Amino acid sequence: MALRGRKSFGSNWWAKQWLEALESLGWDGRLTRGRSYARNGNVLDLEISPGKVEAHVQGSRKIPYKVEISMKTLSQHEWEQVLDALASKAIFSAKLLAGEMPDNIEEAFSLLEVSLFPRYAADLSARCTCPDWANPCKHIAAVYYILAQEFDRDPFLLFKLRGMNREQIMEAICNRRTSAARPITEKKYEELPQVVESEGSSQHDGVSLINYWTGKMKSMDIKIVVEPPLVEQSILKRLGDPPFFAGKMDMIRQLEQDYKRVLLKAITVGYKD
Amino acid sequence: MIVLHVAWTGKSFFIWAEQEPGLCTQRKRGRPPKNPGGLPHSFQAPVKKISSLLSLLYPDVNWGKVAKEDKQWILLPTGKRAPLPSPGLSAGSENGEYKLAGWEITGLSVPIPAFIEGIVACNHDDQYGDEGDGGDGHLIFGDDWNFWVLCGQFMLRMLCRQKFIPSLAPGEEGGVVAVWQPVFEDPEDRGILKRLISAMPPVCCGVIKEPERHDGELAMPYDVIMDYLRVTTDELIRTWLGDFSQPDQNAPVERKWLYALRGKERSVIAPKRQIEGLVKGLKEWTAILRENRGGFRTCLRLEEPRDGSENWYLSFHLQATDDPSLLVSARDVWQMNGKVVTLLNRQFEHPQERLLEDLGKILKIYPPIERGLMEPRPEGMFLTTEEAYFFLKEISVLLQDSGFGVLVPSWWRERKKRMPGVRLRLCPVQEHSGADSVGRLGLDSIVEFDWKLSIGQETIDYEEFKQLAALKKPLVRIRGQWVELNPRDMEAVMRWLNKQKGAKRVSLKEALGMVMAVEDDGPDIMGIDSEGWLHTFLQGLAGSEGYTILDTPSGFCGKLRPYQVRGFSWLAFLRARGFGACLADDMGLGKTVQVIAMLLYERECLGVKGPTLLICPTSVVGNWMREIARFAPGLKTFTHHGTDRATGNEFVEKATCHDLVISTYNLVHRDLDVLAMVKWKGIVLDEAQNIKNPSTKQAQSVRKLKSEYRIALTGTPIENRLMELWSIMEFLNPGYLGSRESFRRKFVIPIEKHGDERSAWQLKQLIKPFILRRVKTDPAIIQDLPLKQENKVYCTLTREQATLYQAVLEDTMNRISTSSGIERRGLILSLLTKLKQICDHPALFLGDGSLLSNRSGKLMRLVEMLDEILSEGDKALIFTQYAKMGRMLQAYLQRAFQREVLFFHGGIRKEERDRMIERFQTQEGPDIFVLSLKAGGVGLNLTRANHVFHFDRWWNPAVENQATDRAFRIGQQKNVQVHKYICIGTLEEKIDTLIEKKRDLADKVVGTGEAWLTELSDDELRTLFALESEAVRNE
Repeated sequence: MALRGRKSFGSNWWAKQWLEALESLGWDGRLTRGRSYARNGNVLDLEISPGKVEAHVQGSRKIPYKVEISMKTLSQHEWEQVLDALASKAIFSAKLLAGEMPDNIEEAFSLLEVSLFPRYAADLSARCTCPDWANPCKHIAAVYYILAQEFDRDPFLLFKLRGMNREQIMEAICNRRTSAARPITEKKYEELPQVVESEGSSQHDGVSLINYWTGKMKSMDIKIVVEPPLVEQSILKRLGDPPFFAGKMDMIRQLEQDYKRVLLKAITVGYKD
Repeated sequence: MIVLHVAWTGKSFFIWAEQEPGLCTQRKRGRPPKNPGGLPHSFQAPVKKISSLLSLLYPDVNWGKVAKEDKQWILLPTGKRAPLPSPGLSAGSENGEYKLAGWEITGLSVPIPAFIEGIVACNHDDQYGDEGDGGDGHLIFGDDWNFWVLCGQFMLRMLCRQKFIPSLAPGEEGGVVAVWQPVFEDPEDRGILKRLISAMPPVCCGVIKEPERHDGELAMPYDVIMDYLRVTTDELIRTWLGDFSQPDQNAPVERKWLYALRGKERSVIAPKRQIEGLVKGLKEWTAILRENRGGFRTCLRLEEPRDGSENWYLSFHLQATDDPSLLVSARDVWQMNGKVVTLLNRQFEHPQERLLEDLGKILKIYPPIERGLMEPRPEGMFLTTEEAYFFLKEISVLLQDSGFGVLVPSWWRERKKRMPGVRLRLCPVQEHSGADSVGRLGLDSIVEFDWKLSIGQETIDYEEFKQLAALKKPLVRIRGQWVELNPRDMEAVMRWLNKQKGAKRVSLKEALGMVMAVEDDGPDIMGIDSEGWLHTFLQGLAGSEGYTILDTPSGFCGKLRPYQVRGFSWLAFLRARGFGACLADDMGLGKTVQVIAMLLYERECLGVKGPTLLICPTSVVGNWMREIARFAPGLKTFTHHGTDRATGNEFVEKATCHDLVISTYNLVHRDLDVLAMVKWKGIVLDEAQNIKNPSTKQAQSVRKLKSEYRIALTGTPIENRLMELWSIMEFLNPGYLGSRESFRRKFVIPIEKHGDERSAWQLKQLIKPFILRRVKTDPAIIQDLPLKQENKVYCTLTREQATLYQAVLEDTMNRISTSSGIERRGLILSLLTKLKQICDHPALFLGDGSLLSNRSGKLMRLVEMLDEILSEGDKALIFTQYAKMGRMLQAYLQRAFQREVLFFHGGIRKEERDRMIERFQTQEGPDIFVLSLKAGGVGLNLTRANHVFHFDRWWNPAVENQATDRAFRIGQQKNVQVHKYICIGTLEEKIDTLIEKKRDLADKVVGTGEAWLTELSDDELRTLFALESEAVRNE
């Protein structure tokens, strides 16, 4: 698994929460052993499904170890409450869909006595095929760390682990939202003509001799204005943090500098008299 | 003649050139090869020549160092043995069938940065070199060159706007390389790209590896351009970033990638897994740029407070991307129950989810929107004025850049017009009463000027201005309108104002010059206020009621159309004030008669005595004479040209006792000394574009002449050609637009290169008072124009034509006088034909197929008129009765204008004919259509043309009208101008006059051909055919 070196694992709050929750189960010391394993890329793959995580971790032996983690899924009733809470404010859905876990979600859940994160040791159980007696062994611990990273990347995965995937959640929220609104007659699904955005693959047939040399240059008036951007480095700003790098800040800084230099040079050339 | 070309080879630019194919290449013996091609190009220009040309044109680059000799294979249109010359060369352009074959070309390979920085950046649109440097018809740039320069500008634009990202790509020999990639998310950029693809000359796709097959295939324009853009983006950026030292082997792959993005070394070398991780990470990071999210997006709309409150409302919508006016409010979206919804003929997939997701993304850019998301079905939220300002100023741009729709009040886009600034207030100083003694000082008139503070178009007094500045609010409602206020800027304006010394008296020129003189960091000048005649003047055309509409002078024989009356009244008004005036009406609106009317007016009503000098191209001298004779026979005129023209004191005397002296641009420099000896009342320049290059000798010479007033006539819209504008204004009102250099700096570069609207507006204000331009499509004019305007264009003969004419006439007349009966008839008819042919063009008569330029007055005039017509985007039909003339016209015009010219004659099959017509009738099709008069039969619909030329006359109105009606259909709303070419002083003019006098003759006699001529006696024939002295223009 591609690894991102960060100052601390799980830079977003919910991934941190996950780790803290684990640490609060009393596994402090043991967890640290898994951290370096995770950093070095020993977790080869990982799959999350409702109530279960399956992963393969490379140990000292040739054949990788298999890790299985089980976590209780939320009951139907609990899910109903969760979904009600999520549907109550658009900001929850908005943030989730945009890849973020809403800040105040734990608040909403605590009112319901439901928690996304494991609270008791009994909430989690884990198995590993390695010969190590410790539980969690460093392989399991490594998987925990990678899970933090994955939740970081996609908060829906945490929900998935607890029993519902993204599509199901969004549909349920949508139903709640719309059932409260005035119903509107379902519009028919029509077959609309496809508008093909042809990127101009013009053919060369029937071109007269003159047009071979001039094309449409004489009849088309193409004006190209060279101007500096309204907002500098806007692409970099929109892309946000790249998903890797120890020294992530250096990379961003370097790229910012690069963009600035290119802009400066382009302006010098473009505005030459 | 050299034609410069450039090709994109996939790695660099390849510059090559054609020169005139020598005779030797055309006279090869032996059977032509079955598959021509596969050989070196036979008339390519040698590399040394290209190199020295480049050094001349782009002296800042060390071409010896930067360019390397190289060979490329390019597919070119090929004849029997050799490549066919491109349109710029003299031998060029039979526009017929051709085959493509590969030819080996030796040229210069130029690396990308050198081409972009050395050539694209320095490209001068105005090739105003000194005369004879090679900018004069010895060198032209092929359209492929122009195309690649345009692409280079596009590249600079993309880089200037930072539309690129760092990325990875598969390397050529396996592995991966770091690359910089262009990003085409902006619809404006995509639009430009589409147009470039569409305009691309096919020759640009003709670079091939080697002639594998002789009928090689061209690459697709899209592929070539995208390849160019990708390679060039990467190459330029990494060159500009320069080299860095390499990181060590154990560095993380991301760092290696970062270093591989600059300098020469591209490869990223690391273990496979690390590379895969890098690939995945990059893909994820740039995912949002790749998303193609269907036909709609989320849009935020900001509305200003409706009541007097400060509550702005930001509402949420879904917007169709192809039609920004189609909005679906969030309220309606929440009611859409379904995965795919059709609304307003468009499909929306998962609309609710999409809206929410976008709102979530917007949240990252604009956190305050969180307030509006606190309910399950949010529709919008309220903002304070400060928040609204912040949104408008900073956020709206970021959102748009990120692909979201943003709708803001329309006045926000116009806010530059409402900014705090200053207005210039000018008052004409009281003058003595009396109509004519009103100061004719023009720009030297004294005015009182004062600066006033203003917001937008309203002046604001100092106190209120100060209060507004003290409010420290960014958006304030003033007199019901929202205005952006920047307290710092306002204080700067007030400080600046206090530095000015208060109301003063200066010349008008100085006052207007202040508009130009304010430095870039000075306040914005929002406008000029004035009163009285000054107000009228400054308003220019808009305030046309401010000057007196004059009566048509009694000496004018004919009727002026209402707009022409306004035109000459305007000329008189400016003349009275001493301002130089430019009349820039469209062709066909009658600039000539307006000037004539003014000349009459000044002599009749102002009692002016003394000559006016009219300078025009040689080709229209005859026309002026005819028009004056027709409309103002009382105006004493003579023309100053020819080898026997008056000189010295003789000339001065002659000039002084005439009203109008006509001379030509060619002579104004040569005879400057003589011309300068006369005290001219006025100087009129016809076809003033002849001085568009201010450094030519003729431009300098006209400026040296002194007169009381000056007028310039031009048919082309000079607002679009700024250096031409400067040159003409410099003649009309010297010094007004500043020095050439400062004009270039202040206006030409910002407007033409950077599209700066503020400078464009400023310039417009400065020149508005001096230019009157009306177009055929003006609603105020259109009703005054007949739908079909017929006018005669009087041309002269060249000396060669005159000599031929005389010789043939003499010779044949002698034979006629000694013949009779059928023989006599035959001789007369054949004489008629020969003389007509000579009037058209010597080559038509001699059959020598030789070069056509400068040998025919009609042809020269035709080219001048077509130039104007093409620059206005119009289309023209040209009728001739001689198929051979038609063919020569086609070839000549194709070369002259470097675009396709259609030619229709009897030998064309129906399908081809239909295709020609279809192409002509489309907007982008050829603009010029030559037709043989006989073949212009029924069934031709050529209504796209608004100009019809009769290059030679059939003298049968029915036949001519039928031809003209190809373009003109009863009931169409478009104005069509018909130009009938007549050579002065030849049989053409005389027969025309005869027919005019005896209209019934036309139908009865001429209708049966020209047989009636054979009834005339020898003497009558001589009179009819004789060549008058005025027929020739000679220099």
